[in-house]
Amino acid sequence: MSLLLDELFNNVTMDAFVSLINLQGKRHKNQSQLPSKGSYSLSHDKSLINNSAAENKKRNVKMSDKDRLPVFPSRMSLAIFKARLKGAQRGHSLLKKKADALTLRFRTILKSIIETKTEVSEVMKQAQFSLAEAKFTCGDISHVILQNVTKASVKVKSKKENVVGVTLPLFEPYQDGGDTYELTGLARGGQQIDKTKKSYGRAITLLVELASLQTSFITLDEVIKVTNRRVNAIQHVIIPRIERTLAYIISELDERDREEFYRLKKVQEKKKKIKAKEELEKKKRQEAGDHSEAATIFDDFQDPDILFD
Amino acid sequence: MAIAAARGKLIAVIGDEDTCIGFVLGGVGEMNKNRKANFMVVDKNTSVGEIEDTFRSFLRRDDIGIILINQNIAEMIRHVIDSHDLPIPAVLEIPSKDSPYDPSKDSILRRAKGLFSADDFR
Repeated sequence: MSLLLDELFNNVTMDAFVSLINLQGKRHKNQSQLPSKGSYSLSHDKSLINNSAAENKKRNVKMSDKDRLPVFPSRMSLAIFKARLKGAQRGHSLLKKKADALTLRFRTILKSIIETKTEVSEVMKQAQFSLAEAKFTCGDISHVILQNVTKASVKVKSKKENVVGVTLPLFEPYQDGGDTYELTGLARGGQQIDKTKKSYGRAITLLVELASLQTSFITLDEVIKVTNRRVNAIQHVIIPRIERTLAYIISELDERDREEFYRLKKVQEKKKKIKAKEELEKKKRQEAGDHSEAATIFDDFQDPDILFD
Repeated sequence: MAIAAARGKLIAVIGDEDTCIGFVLGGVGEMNKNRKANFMVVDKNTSVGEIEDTFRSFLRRDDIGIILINQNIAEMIRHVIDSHDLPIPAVLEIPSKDSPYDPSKDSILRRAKGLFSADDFR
């Protein structure tokens, strides 16, 4: 019988093992009044209780301040969370690189905005002065100019530039059609008007450049804000949460290991006792001259219906 | 709309008479089919509401890529300019004839405040 048990013990799965223990416990209950008879069946129940306890704990923790993801602690979720932690760290480093690249670009743009602004104010001053000159020589030309507007000869093309996945619009001025004011100031002051046109043309080119810089500036500003927010979120919220979850899973698994070990030890101890007792009985019988096989549980023991009772 | 974008965008101007004349002479002025110009001459009789309406209509037009506005006029409708946060159309503040350029008032440069010192402008 003990041999059988040993053999069984060597290759039973956990579930079978548990049911076996249960069976043993019941047998003890039937056979003798062992003081620790309840302990096996208790340990069986304990594993059930353990599961529900873990679930209870999980629910409680969710409400408490210790913030972690709601998972059932198992080897699989441990592996999943390890992968998630890796992914989060990788994402963090990538986003950080992106933010750095954007900031670099942002600073260059800011610098050139300041330069261009200074230049623009200079050019505008010149342009305004040349307009004053033209007005002085031609008299009042404002009506002629403002009434004769038809088609724009200077327009802007918008192109797109890509900086680490962010599209920045770029403006580019181009001539479209002829000059509407070719004949303005034909009577007098034509040269001055020409000069004004040229200086305003320069101002327009500069302003268009400034506009594209400014547009890039706004777009980048927005994107940098979003990227930094993401970087910080991953660094300060997501990664710590995954780490806490991992720690929880590991501690929970360790705890279960220890429990398991303790139970196995207990079972072994019990079995040793039983074996010793049986050996003693056998010896006694043999000394008394009875060489028949010892009675086994299978002789008169009715297998209880453990599944469907 | 798409055709207008492919054809290139216009530069709109809101400013005093001289600024407008200058830029129109430079060749940015256009009168569309509805006889609506892409520039607005602001004189002392123009009300703030009018400027605001024109500015908003320029923002709505999708054939305009850049809006140039005199800084003293931008100051009148600062809340509208500040509430415009899309990249296109780009709103540019330019100095006018009778008021010098003040970088501390510029909507864009105020956003960039702290990133550079005022000495960069000297």
